[in-house]
Amino acid sequence: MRNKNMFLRFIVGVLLISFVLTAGCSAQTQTEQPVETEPNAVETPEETQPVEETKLEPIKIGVITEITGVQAVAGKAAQESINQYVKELNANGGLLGREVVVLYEDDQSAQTVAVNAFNKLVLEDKVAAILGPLYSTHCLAIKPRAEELGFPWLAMGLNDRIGTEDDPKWTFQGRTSDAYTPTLVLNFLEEQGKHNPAIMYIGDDFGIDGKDKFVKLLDERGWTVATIEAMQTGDKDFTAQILSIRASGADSIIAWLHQEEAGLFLRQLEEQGVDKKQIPVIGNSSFLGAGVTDIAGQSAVGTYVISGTAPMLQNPEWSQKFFDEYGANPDFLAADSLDGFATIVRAIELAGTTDPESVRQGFLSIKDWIGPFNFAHTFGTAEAPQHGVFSSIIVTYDENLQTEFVAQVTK
Amino acid sequence: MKKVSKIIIMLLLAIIILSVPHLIKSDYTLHVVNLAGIYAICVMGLVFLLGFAGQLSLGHSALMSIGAYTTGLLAVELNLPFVITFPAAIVVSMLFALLIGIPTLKLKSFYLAMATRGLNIALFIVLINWKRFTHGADGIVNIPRPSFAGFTIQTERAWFYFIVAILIVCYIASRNIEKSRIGRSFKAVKEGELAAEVMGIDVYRTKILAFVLSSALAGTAGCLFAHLNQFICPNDFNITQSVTLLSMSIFGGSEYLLGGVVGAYVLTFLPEALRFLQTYARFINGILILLIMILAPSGLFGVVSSLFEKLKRQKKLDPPNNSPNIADVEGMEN
Amino acid sequence: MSGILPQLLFSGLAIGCIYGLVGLGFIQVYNAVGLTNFAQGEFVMLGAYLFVSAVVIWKAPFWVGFLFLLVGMAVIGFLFTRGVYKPTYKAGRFAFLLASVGLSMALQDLVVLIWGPVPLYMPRLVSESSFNIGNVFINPQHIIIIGSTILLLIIQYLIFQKTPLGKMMRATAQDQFAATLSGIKVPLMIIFTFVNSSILAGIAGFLVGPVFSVTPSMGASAMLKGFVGCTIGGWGSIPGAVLGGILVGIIEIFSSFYISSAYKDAIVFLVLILFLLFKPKGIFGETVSEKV
Repeated sequence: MRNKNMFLRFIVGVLLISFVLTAGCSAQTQTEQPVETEPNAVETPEETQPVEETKLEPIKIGVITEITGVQAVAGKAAQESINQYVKELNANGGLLGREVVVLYEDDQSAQTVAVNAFNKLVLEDKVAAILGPLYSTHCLAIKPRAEELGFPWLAMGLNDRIGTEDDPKWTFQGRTSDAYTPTLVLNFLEEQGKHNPAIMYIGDDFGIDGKDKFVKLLDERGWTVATIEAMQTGDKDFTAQILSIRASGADSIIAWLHQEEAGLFLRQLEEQGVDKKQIPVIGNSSFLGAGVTDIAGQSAVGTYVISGTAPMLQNPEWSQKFFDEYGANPDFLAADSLDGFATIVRAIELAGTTDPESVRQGFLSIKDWIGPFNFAHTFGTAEAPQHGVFSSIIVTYDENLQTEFVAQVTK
Repeated sequence: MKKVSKIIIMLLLAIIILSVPHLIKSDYTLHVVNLAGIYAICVMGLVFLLGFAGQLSLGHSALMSIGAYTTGLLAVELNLPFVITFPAAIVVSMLFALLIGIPTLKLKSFYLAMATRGLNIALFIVLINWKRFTHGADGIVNIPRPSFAGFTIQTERAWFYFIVAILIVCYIASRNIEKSRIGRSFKAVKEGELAAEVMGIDVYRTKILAFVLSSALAGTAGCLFAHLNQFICPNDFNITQSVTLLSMSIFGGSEYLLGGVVGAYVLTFLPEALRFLQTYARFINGILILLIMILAPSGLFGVVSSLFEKLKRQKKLDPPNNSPNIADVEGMEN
Repeated sequence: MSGILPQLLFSGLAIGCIYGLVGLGFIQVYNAVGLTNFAQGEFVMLGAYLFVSAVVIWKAPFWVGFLFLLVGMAVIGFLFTRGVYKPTYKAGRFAFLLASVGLSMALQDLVVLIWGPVPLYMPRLVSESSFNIGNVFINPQHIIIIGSTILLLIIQYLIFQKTPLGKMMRATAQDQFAATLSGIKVPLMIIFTFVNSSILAGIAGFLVGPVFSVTPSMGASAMLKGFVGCTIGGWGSIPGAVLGGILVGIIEIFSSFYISSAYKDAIVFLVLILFLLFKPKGIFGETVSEKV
């Protein structure tokens, strides 16, 4: 009994001390923060000076991507294209005369893990800049941390809030944001004389966000929405949704889906007798994914796709090199990741050094730079200083399931 | 003598715990430690449910999300202070558990398992689609740091002490419940529902109580999670997360509260430490659960404590012809 | 648009049959040993991957691929009994459940490691294009699914009712102790039960492969719906499991069309909760009491 009492007393003691320390630490924060930044300010020049002396020390660039988990397709593509690029870069003298080393971190397709990966790359590995994940929610989760740490990184998510909300300073966006893509899609439908689209979206952050953007834009333009239909990740049968679209009298279909669902959707559209010539389908970049044509087969023919990159059309030479190395054609995921990585390399090149503030300035001084896929990158515009890309390519599948150029569209 | 040595051990333990944030310089590592502490609170709830009362929940992260969203929405939309949103989060997650527990706990054990998994999926769909109320897939951003009487818990170091304090409170409370009549009735239900019924225990109510208490801890963890990360979205609370929580509880030993705590810390660090394995990390997680269940279903603490008992008994029972009997007893206990 | 109702019914029936087949595997194991195998959905996926490896990657003829699938699934079922069921069934009620949860997780990632994360394409037995009867578009694969489900049910019925092996398996399911007394090798019967249920799952994978596309997560949602189907039909009734699965498929597609395609899965689980509240024993009731 006594022992138990002792135990309790001890625990209460630890508890009290913990609370006092909590309070102590929180009280300290007000005073400690400026003090904490001071050693940092002293440290920064110290860190950069030896770097300039020992020029052989490699430049480390972090890449956060989906190596495991539900979105693992993206990570594989990113690693392949970036590895090939860096090998070539280093063979040609590297960056600023230094070797480039890429550190991949898995975000396990989960936000918390993505933030941990970011922390690790910045605080432990001391990389020069970071290429963020392709998925918006992961980027949105990382963003506050990046702003807090004051570290430049290129987010590859599409959500427009990444680059605009809360006026970020350190977060840059490397793909055409959703602030522009839906407008480009509607412009395209306008040209085709279609004003009553149905929207088919995937019921996750990406799809719902895209759907909301379209609904808002359609409302602004005074168009009607025939019907809005959802599918969940892992759904296989879309009979009900396609019937709804058919019944709604839609004159076109906007589909915001992931690869697997995109392939199945196209196939079932065909099976349900929807004619893509009369009701054109325009999909997001996932419709260019490697799995789509495998699953959909001939049903993919004639589908329009809007994408940031279409490597086979924009850079056939590189696509051939990629094919020679990996035995498969590169998809947009490989190209997008490479484009983002090349943008970071460009920023560091312009900065001339690797401390965070210089790299940030390096990003901001990228103007009309043509990346590996033949479209322009400009950061630091008055309208959207953190956004770098404002154009997209629209393609379609021909009879042989090859991508065919339709238009390069710019905001 | 014994007492003195115990005090010394405890003092040492206290010093170690209190000095952790001073030894860990990196904010990254400390953040992971803090996350692990939060998971430990939730896992203690699972120990209640699985280890004590013998009920399986496959959707505990759903209950965590209830706590997180309650506090997040109250704090962001209504600007309520932490002292109000924290208890609110706990109460709401308990109510949810009641709602799920009432229809399913009357039935066989695996119904709760499937119903909680279903809840996990259904809740995810609601959270992600009901944008006006839950902010949808974008999640809730800028959740304020908790503050009391002018103090704000801001740094990772402050968070460490705060989480440890709450962890200890939860531990003491759980420990007291375990030792009490309620805890004993939990264990009786686990041993056999029919026998428990005969002993005069209301099995149905006991199971509901275990589930609700477990959910209270999950809600606490969810609330802390929201305020620590300052950002929550439906994806933080998916099925994979539920399974991870479960493996934490069985890794340490699902019948031991401290086992759950140790499991949470080890398994939060394992994926971080195994980052170099990359592709294999999740695979290993699954295999780990499988292997523990096959080789040592009582977990780390179970193995250690049965080893201790074996040693103790071997000291007492010297005659060698008794040892097969001991083995039998061990087998029975498992 | 007069064809909407029959169209929905037909598609719902086909998808529901898949849930029913998964449920069938569930319920046989449940009847025999009183446990639920959470890796059942992953067995569906493995079946599809085995078939695709044989036919697409190794370019084997169709029937060889199917044989490979049957043998492969039988081996997996056997290994599962020996490696997972046998060491865990004594160690408390949850050891087996949790072990199968762990296995299902590991299998999903194992498949990514072996076959890669890109979805694979499974060739069809019959022509690619659908045909229509009036306003109803018929996918030939759906007809195959429905037909095979009926065929499998008949085969299962014959095995269990007419063959000595089936009778022994039923005896084991009813009372293991009594079965042992009458000279039935209970452990062997349990192995047969697991092998049978994993073959059923494998065939389900083979049937849905062309409709679903072959991915690591293809079995996960079918597993959950199969479980809901078993609950609606009533655990313990084999035709109940299949009918319950079909009902789930139909509820799913109708709520998707008439209520909301976004909340479809939430509605299915609402139905589950309602059944648990008001008819916990399911439509066909439960014949088997809890085994501890």
